[in-house]
Amino acid sequence: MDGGRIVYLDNAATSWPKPAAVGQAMSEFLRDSGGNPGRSGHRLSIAAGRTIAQARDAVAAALGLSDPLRVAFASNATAALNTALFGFLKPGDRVVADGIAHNAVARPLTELARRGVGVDWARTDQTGRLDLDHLESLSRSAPSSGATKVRPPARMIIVTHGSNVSGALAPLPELAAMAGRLGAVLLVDAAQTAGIEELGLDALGCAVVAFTGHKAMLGPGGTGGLAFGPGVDIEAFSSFIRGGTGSSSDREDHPLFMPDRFEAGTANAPGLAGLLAGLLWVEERGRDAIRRAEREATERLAEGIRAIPGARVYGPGPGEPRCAVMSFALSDWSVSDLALELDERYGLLCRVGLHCAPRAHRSLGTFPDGTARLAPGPFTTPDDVEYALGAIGELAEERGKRR
Amino acid sequence: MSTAGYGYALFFTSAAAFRAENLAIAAGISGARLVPTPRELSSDCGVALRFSLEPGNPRTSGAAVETLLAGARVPYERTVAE
Repeated sequence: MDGGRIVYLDNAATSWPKPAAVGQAMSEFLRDSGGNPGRSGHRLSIAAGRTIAQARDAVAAALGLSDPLRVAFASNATAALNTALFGFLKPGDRVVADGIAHNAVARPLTELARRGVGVDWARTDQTGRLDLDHLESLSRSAPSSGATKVRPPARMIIVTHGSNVSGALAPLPELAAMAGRLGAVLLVDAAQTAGIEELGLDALGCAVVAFTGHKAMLGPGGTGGLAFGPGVDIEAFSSFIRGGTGSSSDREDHPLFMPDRFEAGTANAPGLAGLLAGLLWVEERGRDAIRRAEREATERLAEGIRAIPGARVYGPGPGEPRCAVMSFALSDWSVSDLALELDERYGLLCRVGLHCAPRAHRSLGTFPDGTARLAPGPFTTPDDVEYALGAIGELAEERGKRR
Repeated sequence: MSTAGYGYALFFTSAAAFRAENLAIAAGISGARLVPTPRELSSDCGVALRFSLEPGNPRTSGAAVETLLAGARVPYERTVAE
């Protein structure tokens, strides 16, 4: 083991380290502009509000959305997905979701199904790729046949942009076009991709994107939200939250305009100050350059692990669309033992198990054992990647010899 | 140039007010800054965009601010010139 070295390949869980500017911005916010944003009109309150406005602008820019007022902040992507799902769907509606959905989608849909929403799941293949034809046919209405009632068309199509298990990347332009043809709203779980992949939300039209701030945007936990494409009727989404917004204060009914519609109570302004700093850092360093480097690191990890005897890599093949996430398993190793050894002996940090996405593992054929997941980030170096491959190779060889 | 009092742009949400402030400063609207919404104009507890009214300078009129906001699709409630 390299004494004291830590190689962090768990950026799909949360990015680490954060740029130094993120912590600095949060500390400066608390020290210099800690008023309650959008409430009082004094300088500290205005300074805080300005920070949130800049964060909203930066998020919109990162998602390719020209109108920042179509961004509503939430505490994380899960809260955002719950808002979109419970706010839009009502009994009798039908939705189609991809078969690799995270529990942040699957669990709300399970509850909505209990409440009378029809839920269908589109097939994904063993590499995590979505079957677009199956998705489209499931999303169409169907006449009654025999005992089967008329199937209404899907009102919402829900997709994972980047799989948190395999790294498979869904083709958003095609999916948005399909949703447009079918008159459905496309809800995109972009937890793994927002901030680093091109989403081009303006061009997607009828798409709603749920994003998190603490992964590729490099902000702190407790930040995230919903971004509504220009073709989405926001009034079709009700909000569960009612409360103080600093606006329409003479009224006791909650305002319906954006973003107050979805934002009540004191915002996580220190977190959003950090999120802004993270996004500015990505912008400065170059979103494309970071994405390219992360993808190269992921491809190299997949290639290197494929070459290890007894290893199996799950997910997209070389050159196929993917984000910076890959999964593997070693024969003779349970993934939990593997993670412990990698951490204790090599300082290599990764996540193993089902990654809150049992459906994705069923489609990859890795349920219930799970996989080991490696996710490089902007601070991962080529040397880190080779070090990780060396560590995994050594462990595979040790067990292999015992056979 | 001497000022002849202030104009105000009122917003439904502070999120729009902060966007408006950036736009107004970038567009050179004289004296543009956020202030507590004057109580006589609105019962909101939020902020309003205040700007200086300068006779003979159409760039700092309420109409100019409205044009600016509409062009950037920033929703506003109304502008008031004292």
